[in-house]
Amino acid sequence: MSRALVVGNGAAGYFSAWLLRKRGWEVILVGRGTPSTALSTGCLRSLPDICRAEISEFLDSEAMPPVTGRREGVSKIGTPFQCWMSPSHSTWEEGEGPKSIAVAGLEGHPSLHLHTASAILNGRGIKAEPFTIPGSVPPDAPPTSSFRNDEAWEVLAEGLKGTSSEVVLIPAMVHLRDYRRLDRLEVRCGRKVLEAISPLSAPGQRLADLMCSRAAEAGVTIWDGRKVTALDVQVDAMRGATVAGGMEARDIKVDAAIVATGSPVVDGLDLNERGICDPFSRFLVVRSNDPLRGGYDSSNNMLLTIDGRVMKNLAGAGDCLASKKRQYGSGLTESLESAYLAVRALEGL
Amino acid sequence: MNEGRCVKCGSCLRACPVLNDPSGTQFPGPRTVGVDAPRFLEKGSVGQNALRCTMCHACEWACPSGMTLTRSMLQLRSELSGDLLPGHRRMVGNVASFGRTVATEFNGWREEGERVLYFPGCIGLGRLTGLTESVSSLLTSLGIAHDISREALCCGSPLLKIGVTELAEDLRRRNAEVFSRYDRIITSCPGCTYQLREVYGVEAEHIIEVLRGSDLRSNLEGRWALQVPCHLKRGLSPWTADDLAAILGKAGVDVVRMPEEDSCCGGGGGMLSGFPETSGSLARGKVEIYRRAGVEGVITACPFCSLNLGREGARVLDIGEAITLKH
Repeated sequence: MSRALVVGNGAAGYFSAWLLRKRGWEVILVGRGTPSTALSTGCLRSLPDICRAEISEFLDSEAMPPVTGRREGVSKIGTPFQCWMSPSHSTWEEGEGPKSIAVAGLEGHPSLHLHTASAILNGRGIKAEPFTIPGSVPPDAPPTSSFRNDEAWEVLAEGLKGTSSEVVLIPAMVHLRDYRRLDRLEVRCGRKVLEAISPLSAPGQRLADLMCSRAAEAGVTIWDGRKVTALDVQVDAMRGATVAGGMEARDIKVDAAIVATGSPVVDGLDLNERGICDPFSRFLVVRSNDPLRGGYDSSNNMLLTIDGRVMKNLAGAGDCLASKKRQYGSGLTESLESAYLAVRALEGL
Repeated sequence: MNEGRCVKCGSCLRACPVLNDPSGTQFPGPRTVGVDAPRFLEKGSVGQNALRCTMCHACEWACPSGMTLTRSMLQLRSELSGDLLPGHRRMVGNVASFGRTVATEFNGWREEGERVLYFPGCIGLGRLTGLTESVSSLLTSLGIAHDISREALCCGSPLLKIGVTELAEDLRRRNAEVFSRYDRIITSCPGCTYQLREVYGVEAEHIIEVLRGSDLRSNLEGRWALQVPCHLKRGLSPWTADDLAAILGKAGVDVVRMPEEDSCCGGGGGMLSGFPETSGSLARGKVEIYRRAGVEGVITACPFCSLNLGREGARVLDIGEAITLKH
């Protein structure tokens, strides 16, 4: 069996690893640190142009069932949010929105600004009533700290029964393993339960965790908390890599690889004098004034060496690739699409 | 330090086991303690609440900017002024009077002048002597003749966690002299292993690294979960942590893997002695997860995990107690 290395633990990395595994490769995925995927809203804002069936299969899960179509939700400050795919408790079908919402938040906690959100919803013509969840949680502590046991959820359900709205909006806080608690809360309080759309919070983390578990279930070996520190490249072919983790480093041999290291943060592309550069100093990088568009140069998703050769077995995927078309809010969808293209590009090997 | 890299994404806050626990919200959090306190004086006055951290490295592991949060927090701890917490005072008193953090109850000393030293650590010598005896007989069955020396004292790691650096340095000097008499040092506590490698520059081996490749078996029945120790996975090597599951699987244990297996039990960073109620609450959270999974018990490779989860009612075995050599 041929062995592929995938570098990066975000949407592009997990999806390409999952696809490669399904196509019969032995796959090792190396990545460390929270990926941008986990900092997102956990929803796909734009409709994929290609591989819609594969994306749907990849993200389909009993643990957190997804919904697709023209979807609409409410942000944690009450503004509208549109997307194509979200977890079931995040959005409603466009045009089917509620007339009244109880906004249930912790006083002073950034997970859901209950008074601002209520005011904005009222301004949008949706009748909103603020509902203060009892208790005090410091701003840096996740709201889950107050909802660790069944009793806390029971108390919340009882409180929500007293509201007069058809839908309750709560802070996004449950982990992937607890997502089904929202179904139970819905039954217990007799109202539709909706999570506020929140970036930098539980939903993005859940999406990343889900992708990780889907890849692991498919048989991908996940080397979490590890980083590729060097590549063994001979002319235009990738032969192996050095991986470091903790106090240890290991060399591995590979037949092909996908680089999906993400946007210019420390473990992805390097920044040098405000420009993007390749941390391995081997591949061509398109430097753009628009930070959303710069990244690795590529030809049919294959990276290019500094002297312009097309790599035979090293593809790029996701935010680390230079992109001409990238739109605001389309990052996750484009990452998944480019992962699909990278796998297709390697398929001939 | 590299505090300037913080992008305020909050990933460390979501990863922190203490902040996510109902008893832990007095902890100002890794962002305040590790990033803001060293830079902004008004946030630097976090006082003893800065010690409400198990030093599990989960924040550092989550940080997308590769910040060395644990190192920043250790630095802050060494600069804290004021009285020690009662539990920490007791621990320092113990080290000052007899060289270990807890009273020693071990009787199986071996001082035969062998070339290998088994270094069980304070918990292994004071609280979990059965664990230490199991590991010692496992080593013997593997043909590794070893000493367990009275002269080897606390590694100093717990003292660094509460900012008592001078006493830790004194221990290092005394231990280094003992270590110089041996060719090989084997430990069963990831915290000691980490300390020996990082601070002493001694290539100590954790028992998992010794067992790798041996022909082992287990008599355990039923399904068992793992408690993957923080300093093993996020300190020493994630591959060594992977080996915990691999060794048990090969020995015939039915191991149930779960995403929460590598989250902290609450026993590290001086929390067990300083803030026992928070340590207990974290452990209860984990015990509940294991209970829901319907497993017989938990297998770990760290005396602190064994002690803390055991106190909250879990059936816990160290890897040294879970397996034996195949005959």
